[in-house]
Amino acid sequence: MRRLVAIIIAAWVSISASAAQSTQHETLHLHQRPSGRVTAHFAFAQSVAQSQAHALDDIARGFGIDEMALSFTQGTRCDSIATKVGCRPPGVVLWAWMRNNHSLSSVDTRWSALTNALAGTFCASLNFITPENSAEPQSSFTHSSVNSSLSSLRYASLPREITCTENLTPWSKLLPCSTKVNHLAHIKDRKMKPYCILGSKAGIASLFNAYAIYDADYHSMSVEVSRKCTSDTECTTEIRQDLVVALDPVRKGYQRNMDWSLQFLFGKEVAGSCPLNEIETNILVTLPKAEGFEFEGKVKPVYNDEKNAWVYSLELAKQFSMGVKYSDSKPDLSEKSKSTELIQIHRHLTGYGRERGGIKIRISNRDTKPRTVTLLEVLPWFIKLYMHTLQRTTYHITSQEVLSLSGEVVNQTLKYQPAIPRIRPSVIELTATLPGESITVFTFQFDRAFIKYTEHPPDANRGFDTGAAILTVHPASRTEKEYRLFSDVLLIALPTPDFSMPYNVITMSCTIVALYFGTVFNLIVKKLEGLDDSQLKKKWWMFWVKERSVLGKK
Amino acid sequence: MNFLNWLVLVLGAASATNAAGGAIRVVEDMRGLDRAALAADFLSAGAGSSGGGSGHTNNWAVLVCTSRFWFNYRHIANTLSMYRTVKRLGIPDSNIILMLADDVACNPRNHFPATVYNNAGRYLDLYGSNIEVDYRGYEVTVENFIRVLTGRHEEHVPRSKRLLTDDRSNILIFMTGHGGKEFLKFQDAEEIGSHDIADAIAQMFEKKRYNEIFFMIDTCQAASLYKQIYSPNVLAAASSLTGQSSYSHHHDMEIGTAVIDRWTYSNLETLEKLERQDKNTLANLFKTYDSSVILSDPGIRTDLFPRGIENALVTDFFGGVQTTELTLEMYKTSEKQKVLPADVKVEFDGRLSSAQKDTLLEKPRYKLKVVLPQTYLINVPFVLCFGLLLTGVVVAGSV
Repeated sequence: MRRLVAIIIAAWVSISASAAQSTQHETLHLHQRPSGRVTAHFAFAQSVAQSQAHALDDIARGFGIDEMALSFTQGTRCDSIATKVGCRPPGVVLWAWMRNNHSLSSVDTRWSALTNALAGTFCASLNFITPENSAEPQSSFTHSSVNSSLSSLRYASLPREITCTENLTPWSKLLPCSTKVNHLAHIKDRKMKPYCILGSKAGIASLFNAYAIYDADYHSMSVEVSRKCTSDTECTTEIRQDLVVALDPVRKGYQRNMDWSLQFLFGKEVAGSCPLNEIETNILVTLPKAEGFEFEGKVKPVYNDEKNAWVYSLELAKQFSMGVKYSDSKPDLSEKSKSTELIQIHRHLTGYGRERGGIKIRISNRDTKPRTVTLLEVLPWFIKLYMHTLQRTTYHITSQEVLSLSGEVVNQTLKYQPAIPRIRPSVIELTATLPGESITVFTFQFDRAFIKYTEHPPDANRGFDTGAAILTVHPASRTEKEYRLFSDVLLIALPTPDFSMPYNVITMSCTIVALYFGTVFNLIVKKLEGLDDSQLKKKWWMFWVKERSVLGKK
Repeated sequence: MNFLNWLVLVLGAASATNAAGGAIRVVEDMRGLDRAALAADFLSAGAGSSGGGSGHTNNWAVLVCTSRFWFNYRHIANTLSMYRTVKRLGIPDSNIILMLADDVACNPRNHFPATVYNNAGRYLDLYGSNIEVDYRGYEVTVENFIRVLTGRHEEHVPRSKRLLTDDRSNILIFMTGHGGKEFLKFQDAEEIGSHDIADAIAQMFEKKRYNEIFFMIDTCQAASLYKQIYSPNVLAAASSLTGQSSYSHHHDMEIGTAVIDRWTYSNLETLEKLERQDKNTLANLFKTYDSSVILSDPGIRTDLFPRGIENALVTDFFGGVQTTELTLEMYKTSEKQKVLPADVKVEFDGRLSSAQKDTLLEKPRYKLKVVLPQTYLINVPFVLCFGLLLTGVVVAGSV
């Protein structure tokens, strides 16, 4: 009997140990604001042990990566309160900490290999990340778990990169309980045999619907990989995948009201929880009102004070749908303009014309305490910076009085890497302290380079996108965490040539040369000779001309 | 770095043209042969393998849309229609290289986000929810297209962007965009010439990268694009003959552009009805072309395809091979490359026999007509005036 109990306990311990070995979570947090907009945050976490296989683990292992973050974003109307992962700039942002000593090759070689591998994995043009647009920031992406003496950091962004279904497809295939898609879908004609149905396995990933996601005001898809080794052989890779989608039921519905349901927002329902038993699936709902609404659907949620949200737990193999109906469903549209963030960054272009320009970065600190921030600006080489024009002005947030900086607030460090054309970008990394309740403005001037004819993209007149500036907000106290803010992406127009001009010039000059050369050449080379008189018989109709020799011969 | 890449490409092209001498001869020789007899020969030779004697063991597709900008929506729809068809008929995503020069699905101008339709009725979304685009946007360049075909890639290029074919692969190459006589525009910025395509395919033949190729092109004067191809076992079809334009099929008022081209539409009408085990031949497909509907005369080139279009199944190129062949002995890759009849010898090492050299070097000698110089004197006042004008302009400009 005692032995039996021991066996049972041993079995239980081993089961729970194996469950703990690979913990996986998936959470969907739906956060509605008074304006009616619903931000859906799908968060997936999984840890891959040494013995398990995963495409991203393979990449992390192969290229010696400690930490890596990649995000694909479109749209700017991000709700910073509703997303826990922060708002990201449009396009692709990639940064990675890579081990210095790696058996295969140098950090730079592995960086380009990594971007190519990720390009293949995510069907994106990440291979356009080259040393020409990569930076090595010193103090912007510091990470507690990474030893900066053993690893190197690389950062790059592709602000023009689009995100579409072809990126979502491979991204969702990396999930532990991935979406299974039968075939092409969207059949309008009901009479047709529906041989293609958008299907999915289970979990919150079954809500993925490209039509809804890419119709959103803002969508951001990201992957974070971190690899931790307890010993030389025992390593685990933590993979976090987040998808943030800002949907607007007020815009989408004909009623223009705040009521919504999963079916309405995504056109789908959740197909039960994931059958993998170690996965925990939760759906959290945060609503703008404390009362005056009711939940639709069979299952009713429980309010969790700690999380400040209504919580649903999904059951295996049970269809799940939910919705919210308000008694007063009129949205508060004035709320949209308000922002409650303590620190904000805004960047814009100054100047006019296609020769000179300037950039103005405005950072406001609404906090009463001074905050230390690091501004990272990576600009392509064709924007020629004038560092002597870099200026800082700080004034009070309400009185607009210019503040004279004193004490520790004055301290600021500046790291500057000048650009080398076609080799590396210019990098400014500025650590400064922002006084409480202040606005700090940085300005600098630049010249636009006149780049080579072939360096222009096919749609050259559109302009060149420059990646967002990154503001790292350092923690004020030990309890806080460091976080990052991204500025706007700038579209800079460079002097663009008239691309047909070279052809005009070539054809014109060739014609002139041919005409001139041909005639002169003939005149020089050919010999003038008189005709034989015998050929010059007087024609019968030239009776009125007196017969004579043509060129004086005879 | 870029310069080096180009150097490699140029050298490759040069080696291809060297071999061209030999290959041209082959083509000419084969023209003289009885094609039906040849086809019968191949059929009996490949009797062991299924699929009408094609002898291929895997299928690949290279689908290229070369047009950027929203109003070229139809070109992306053309390419995606083909993508959908080959995927439906059994070629997996890993064997499809899809190149789309622009993003119309998630374009802000698209009223129906994440969709591409090829019909104004919008019955079928071509973009679907399971799509893998291998080259997109600025990546679709002439350089990358030739790299894909010839397999000369930079070091770190992932497998999904490579055409990993062997000498038993049947390849469908579909191209669409804006073209003219012997060129096709890429991204409205550069062009590929018919000689480039021909040389790339010749390199593929030398490197044993294909068994058979079906080259399809939907553009204006499309037939001029396949004119220069000289490698064996290439079948080509085009939307219009040299000198003709190709036209779009119809317009969607809500999308705001034409949604598909006529020739592709005509192909799809047939292809949509086929299933994986279908036994229809390419000859049947070509018979469905109706010039009065397509509004141009589709071009078909069969002289490099000795097997004959009557013996080639549509699924030889559009479908994925499902059969496996068991052999007792070790598999030799070059053995089954039947390609050429025994009596035709090809010299692909680039060296030519003296007789060959003579024929190649022999150029037509035109009898030069000697014109009396006096007639040229007419030009003298004109040239003098023009010269004066030029000098005047230069002098005026410099002052």
